[in-house]
Amino acid sequence: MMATPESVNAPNLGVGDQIVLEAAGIWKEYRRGLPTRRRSFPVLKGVDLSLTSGEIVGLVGENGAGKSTLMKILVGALQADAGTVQRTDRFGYCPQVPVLYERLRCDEHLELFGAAYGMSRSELSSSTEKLYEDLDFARFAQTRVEELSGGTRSKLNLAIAMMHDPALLCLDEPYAGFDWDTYQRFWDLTSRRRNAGASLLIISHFIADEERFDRIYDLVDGRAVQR
Amino acid sequence: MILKLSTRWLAEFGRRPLNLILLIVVPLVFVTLSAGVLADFADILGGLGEVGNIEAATAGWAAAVLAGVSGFFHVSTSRNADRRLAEAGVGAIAVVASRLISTLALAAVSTLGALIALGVRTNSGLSWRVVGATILFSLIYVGIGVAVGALIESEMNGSLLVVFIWIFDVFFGPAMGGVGRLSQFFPLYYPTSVITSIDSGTAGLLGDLGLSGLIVVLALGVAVLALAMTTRSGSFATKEPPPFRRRIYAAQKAAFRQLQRMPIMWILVVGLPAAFISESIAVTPNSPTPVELAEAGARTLQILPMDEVHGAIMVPITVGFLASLAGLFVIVDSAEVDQRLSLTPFRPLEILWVRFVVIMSASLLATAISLLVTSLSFRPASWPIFVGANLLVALTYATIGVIAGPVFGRLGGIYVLLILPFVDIGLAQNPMFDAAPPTWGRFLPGHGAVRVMMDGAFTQSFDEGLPLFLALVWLVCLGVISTIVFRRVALARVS
Repeated sequence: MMATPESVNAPNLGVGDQIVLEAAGIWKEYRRGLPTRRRSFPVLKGVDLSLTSGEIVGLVGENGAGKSTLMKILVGALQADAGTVQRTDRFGYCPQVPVLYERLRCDEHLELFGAAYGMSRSELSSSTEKLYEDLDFARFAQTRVEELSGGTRSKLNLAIAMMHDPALLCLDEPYAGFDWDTYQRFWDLTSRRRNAGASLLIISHFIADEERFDRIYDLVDGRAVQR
Repeated sequence: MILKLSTRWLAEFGRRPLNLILLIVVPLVFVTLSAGVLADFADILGGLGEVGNIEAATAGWAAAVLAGVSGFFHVSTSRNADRRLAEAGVGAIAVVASRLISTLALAAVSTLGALIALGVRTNSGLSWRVVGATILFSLIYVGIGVAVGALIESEMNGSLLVVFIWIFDVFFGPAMGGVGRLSQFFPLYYPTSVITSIDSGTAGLLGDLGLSGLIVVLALGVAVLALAMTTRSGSFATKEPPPFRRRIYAAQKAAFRQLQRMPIMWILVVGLPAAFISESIAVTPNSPTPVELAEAGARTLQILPMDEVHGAIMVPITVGFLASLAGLFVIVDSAEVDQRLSLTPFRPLEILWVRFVVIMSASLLATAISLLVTSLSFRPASWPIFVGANLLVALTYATIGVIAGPVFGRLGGIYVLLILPFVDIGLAQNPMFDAAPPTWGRFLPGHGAVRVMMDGAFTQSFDEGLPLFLALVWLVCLGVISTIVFRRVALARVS
């Protein structure tokens, strides 16, 4: 069965009382080579995973374990070969490599994605101001992406995922390229979101601050195993 | 209140002394120094090369450009504050009226400067006709400047638009030899006939003066309407539109910004037609060449000057090539982020629409510039058919570009698009190689549209119904395929 994400309503989110993401039996394999000599590389072999509101969950695995593939399936950017995904439709996704329009400025990105999320002008204005301050990149608001450093691109990449205050945040190695100060700011920001009832699924190939996570899944041999 | 506000606006303008200096100095310099040069230029282009005529026209041109630009900035820079003032209780009528009165006062200063300069240069009295016509020039551009200032948000884009309109008006108008049907739609066409006292011969019952008056009323009417729409409280500019409209608007704005910041595309869209077409026409000998044309229901071979045939065929070659490149670059350049955008409430078809509007705008611009360059040395028998056929080529090849990018990738797509328009339009459909297209050429996407284009270029009546139908079938099929391809790009959930 193909895994097409279905939305679940998540009204009145309270800490730990509402499932915002549930994946069951996710299978995915990549096929390579000519049709006559096609080889299959299974990556995910029946992943089960769930998140409730108000928790930070880590997803850890070696390089090539299939973490980003799983994340893409969870947010609907990739179709699985089998399995089901149910999640809230109020989610934000931060891809591993910043996916941004090279010739647009930071504020123009936030304006565009704000409109895409259906934010009002006042919501957009307050959210933008807050994220610039929290992630400390207001001075680059008028700078085009093609002129930004890798770290600032990562900040904008993250800001786009968080700007509409989603109930579920799916972050794929979000702090790669952050300096120590920004890394601390990131955790302050995510803690505040978690305390407000949001859930965060954070991918990393290693977990440095284990105590910051409520639960951790290890992606081993195509399956998610909870520590 | 209106008078009080008007004087406030003028005082605000006067607080930057450079503004006032430019308002007077520019017309003086323009009229006194440029009239002779412009007369020589007009002589080369076959216009009203008599110095006296050009001198009178330069006063009008100077007054017009200053009225337009100052009108634009007068409205554009104060748009938000004016709206706030109207909402605070002053009311839109008072704000609009005062803004218009102060703009007219500024235009009066520049008009006066232009007329004084003209008087000094000619060293004789000015006729009432020249004074009145210069005022007409100025009023028309007040209308254009104010309307653009009210509707276009970006100061750079708006001011450039006003200047572009003026450049086309001056250099493709009757004073410079522009007497084709297209130039009759420029706002200063009939006022130029008035100021030079040379009958346009196309003004009908109203005459050149009557039509000029009508253009003034129309320009000022549009300006008042645009200003009122964007100033009144609760207008579309201040109300929060529904999410669907907001996201389309935001995406469209962002997409145009991306295009605007793609310098290579501008060089191609603007520079290529100018260089490519004018050079091709210039080097083509005026020798006879046979061309198969349909007229009165029959296909006959007609002998036509080769440079004219080359002038006609260069437009679809250039337009097809540029439109396909616009399709390729716009889609490939934004594909990855469009996928991310499709994870928000944006639908793939909405994103496609946004990209399509940008591609079409670039294609239309390339078509317009190609037509303008061609019109300098070639006049088709029927402008509407000629323009329509070239638009068909642009649309067809833009959709091919949309398909080529995702299917062949950026590099592969460029190779394909370098070859296809030239093989199709430049070779198979080109009557310079063969009087009629070869059999294999009839199966290529440009065949129908180019047949229609040749019909519009060289025959008075329309006789290419079947090729037009064929062109439309190609367009619809390619449109459907490009939609499917783009949807797969935006969703990208198949790997």
